[in-house]
Amino acid sequence: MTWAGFLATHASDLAWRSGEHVALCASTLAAACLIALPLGVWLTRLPRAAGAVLGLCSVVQTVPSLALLGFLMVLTGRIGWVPSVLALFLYALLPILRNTIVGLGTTPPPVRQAAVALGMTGDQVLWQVSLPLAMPVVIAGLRTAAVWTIGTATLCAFIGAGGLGVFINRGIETVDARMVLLGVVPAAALALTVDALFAWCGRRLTPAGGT
Amino acid sequence: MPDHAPEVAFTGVSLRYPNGVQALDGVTFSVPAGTICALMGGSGSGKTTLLKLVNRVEHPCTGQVCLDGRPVDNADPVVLRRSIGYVIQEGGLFPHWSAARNVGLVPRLLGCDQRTTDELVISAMDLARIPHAEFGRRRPDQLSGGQRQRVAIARAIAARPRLLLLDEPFGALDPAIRSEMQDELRALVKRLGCTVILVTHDIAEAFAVADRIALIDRGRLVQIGSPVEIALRPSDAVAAAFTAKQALELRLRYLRLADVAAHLPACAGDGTEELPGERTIADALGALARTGGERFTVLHQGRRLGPFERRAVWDLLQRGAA
Repeated sequence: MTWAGFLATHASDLAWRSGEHVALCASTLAAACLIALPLGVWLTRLPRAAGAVLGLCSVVQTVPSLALLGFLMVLTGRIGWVPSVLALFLYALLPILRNTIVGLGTTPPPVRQAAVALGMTGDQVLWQVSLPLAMPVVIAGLRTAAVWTIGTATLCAFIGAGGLGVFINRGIETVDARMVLLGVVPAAALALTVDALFAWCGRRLTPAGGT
Repeated sequence: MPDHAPEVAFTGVSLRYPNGVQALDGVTFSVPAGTICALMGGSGSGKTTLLKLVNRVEHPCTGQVCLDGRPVDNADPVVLRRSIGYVIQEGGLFPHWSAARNVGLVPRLLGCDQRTTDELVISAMDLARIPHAEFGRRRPDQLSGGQRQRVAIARAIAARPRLLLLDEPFGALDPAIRSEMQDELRALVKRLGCTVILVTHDIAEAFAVADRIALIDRGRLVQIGSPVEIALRPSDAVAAAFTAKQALELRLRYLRLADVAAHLPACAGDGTEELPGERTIADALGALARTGGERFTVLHQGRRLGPFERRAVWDLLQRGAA
């Protein structure tokens, strides 16, 4: 079969699996942002707790992805989306959380001192000064998390969550390189696209005079 | 916001940090309304801590700071800080805001509408000689060091505070710009009628700008007095050490004839020269050297002081810390 024929045969399947992949990654990233961004902001006021939470996230990162998926499958007693989103979510937490904490810590001390001394409240310093200045670093964390999630999500096919990993699985089982590529190439393209999208958002959100 | 410049009084303030460092130890002095007081000391002397007590960024363990007799502890810190101008070394400008937006910070915090804020910004930038039309839209990274400090000063005075706290405002500038800014700052705050507390480690800056100088050493007040008193009547060896290295230069450049006349012995005979009391010693000696005059009288506030001998001025200049 030619490449064109191969693609034509699998076009509808590819579209469906891509949709699954995007949905899996988008829900994971949305959940991770929703938790990690506020948590990161809150933890900057509690340096000790921040260290502990970051340490915990680092430990999660050291667990191999496949092992974590298997572990969560047992723990939740389910296959498919629930353990998959949970695992990807745990992986995405660290880069977002760490970059938020690090980014907020980079406000130059004289800037912070002047902001407080001129009568800004803690919230005003955070929203008007620290967060805008931290934005490039926070966005960098989001980009890392997004690329990571999109790549790792291909493994979720092993526990029945669908997505582009299905083609990779199938290709491995049938020793069909074309089938593997059918999963790999769209996943890589998706990762690059999302990365570029976040980079663009980052430039829009980053104050031009910021560091 | 008070509609007049407040008197600032420190009464027995001590501060010991949790790590055991005694930052301040029983400091008592006051800064009269509308005057400029320089807090002068080495690094770690406690001068910046003293400044931060005024706007409640730091809190004394004992003693209190009062503005016009009212303890600052009774004021809401945020409200208090918005009523006090503040300039820090390196400016502390928000790098992601334009100069104009930086200057408009306090008016906006106080809830001024856009038009009032704009008016205050333009007027403050004019006063700080960094015209809004030319510099308003620039961000701090598009300004030179001196321009940034002008913006920082404009930001501090934008809401027309009657008390200014300046923490090494010119510490990062090169000497030529520094000297120019010192002269301008003095003229500006005198025009606005503010009470000013200025932290500096540079004795020449204290002499150039301040009405009174407080010498701080290891958390204690060593001496407080006018530049003349600091230069000519140090209270002890520690106080004398502050001016020792630059004693001659300070006396020549910053003391005026009117200041020192009381310290000069009058001589017999007539003065051959009449010199205005506003002149610095360096100026006066220069004038006498040009005319070859040996004796002179000082005209000050319609009175004639003297006559004095030129040699007596030299003796005074060279008098060690007694």
